[in-house]
Amino acid sequence: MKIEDHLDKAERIGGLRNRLDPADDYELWYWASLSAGMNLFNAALHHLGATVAEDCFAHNLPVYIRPGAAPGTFEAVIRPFGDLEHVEGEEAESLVPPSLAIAAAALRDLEAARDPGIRGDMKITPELIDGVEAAYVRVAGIARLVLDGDAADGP
Amino acid sequence: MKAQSHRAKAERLGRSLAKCRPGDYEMIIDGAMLAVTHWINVALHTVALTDDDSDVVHAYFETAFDRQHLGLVVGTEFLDGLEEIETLRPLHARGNVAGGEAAAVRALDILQGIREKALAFVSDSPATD
Repeated sequence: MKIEDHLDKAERIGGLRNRLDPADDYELWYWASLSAGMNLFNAALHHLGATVAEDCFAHNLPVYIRPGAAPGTFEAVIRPFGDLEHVEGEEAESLVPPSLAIAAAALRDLEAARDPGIRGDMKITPELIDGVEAAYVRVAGIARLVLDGDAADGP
Repeated sequence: MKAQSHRAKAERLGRSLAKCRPGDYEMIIDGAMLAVTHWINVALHTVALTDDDSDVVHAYFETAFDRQHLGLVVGTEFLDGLEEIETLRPLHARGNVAGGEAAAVRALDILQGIREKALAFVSDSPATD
C-alpha cells in the first residue's frame, strides 16, 4: 500500500487498541498491536525506499493481490518486496535498513508471542502484556522517527 | 490445545469484537478469523477428529484430503467459512479495497454461523475463562 494508507490503518487500529483492555481483550489487543506496528513499519520501509509502495496487498509473500482493471476484480501477482507481513526470513530481514533494526527486533519480539498467546494457551500475565506494550511502543516510536525524517542514520 | 481452551479463546475474542465499531473492519476481519479457527478446533477436538496437539490454523494449510475427511464428519461449512474470511484479509485487512465495513459484516456472519455449528457439537459444560 501507499504510505498514507498504512498511516490511516495504523491510526484507526491504534485507536481500537486504546479502547480495548489489554487483559480482558488480550487476543484482539495483541493483534491490534502487531497490525498497527506492522503498518507503521511498512510505512517507514517505504519512506526509506527499502520496499515498494504500491497498491498490491500482501498474501503469503512473494504473492501479492493486485486489483484488476475492472472494479471488484483481482489477480495474484508475484512482486518485488512491497508490504511485509512478517519480519522473518533472510530475504525480508536483509531489506531492513540500520535505522529500523531496533524496530524490526521489536516486531520479532511481538511475533514470538503470537502463536503461544493467540493460538495456544500461554498464560496471559501482566509481564506478557507489559512486554507487548513495550515492543509496540518501540516499533511505533522508531517508525515515526524515521517517517518524520529524524532517523536517517539510526535512532 | 484442548477444546475448552479453544472455546474460552473464541468466546473472549467474541466479547472483544463486540467492542469494535464499523470502522475497525481490519481487526473485525482478523479477529473473526481467529475466533473461527478456535471454534473449528472446538468442534474437531470435541468429536475426536483431531488431537489436542493438532490444531487447524488456516484453511489453506489443510490438504484436499483433510478438507474432505473433516467435511464428511462435521460439515464443509467450517473450513469453507474460514477460507472465505481468509480471502477478505489481503483485500481489506492488509489492503485498501473499498467495502471493508461490508466485508467485516460478512466475516461476523460467518463467525456467528460457525459458532452455532461448533456449539452443537459441544456438551453444556461451561467454558473456563
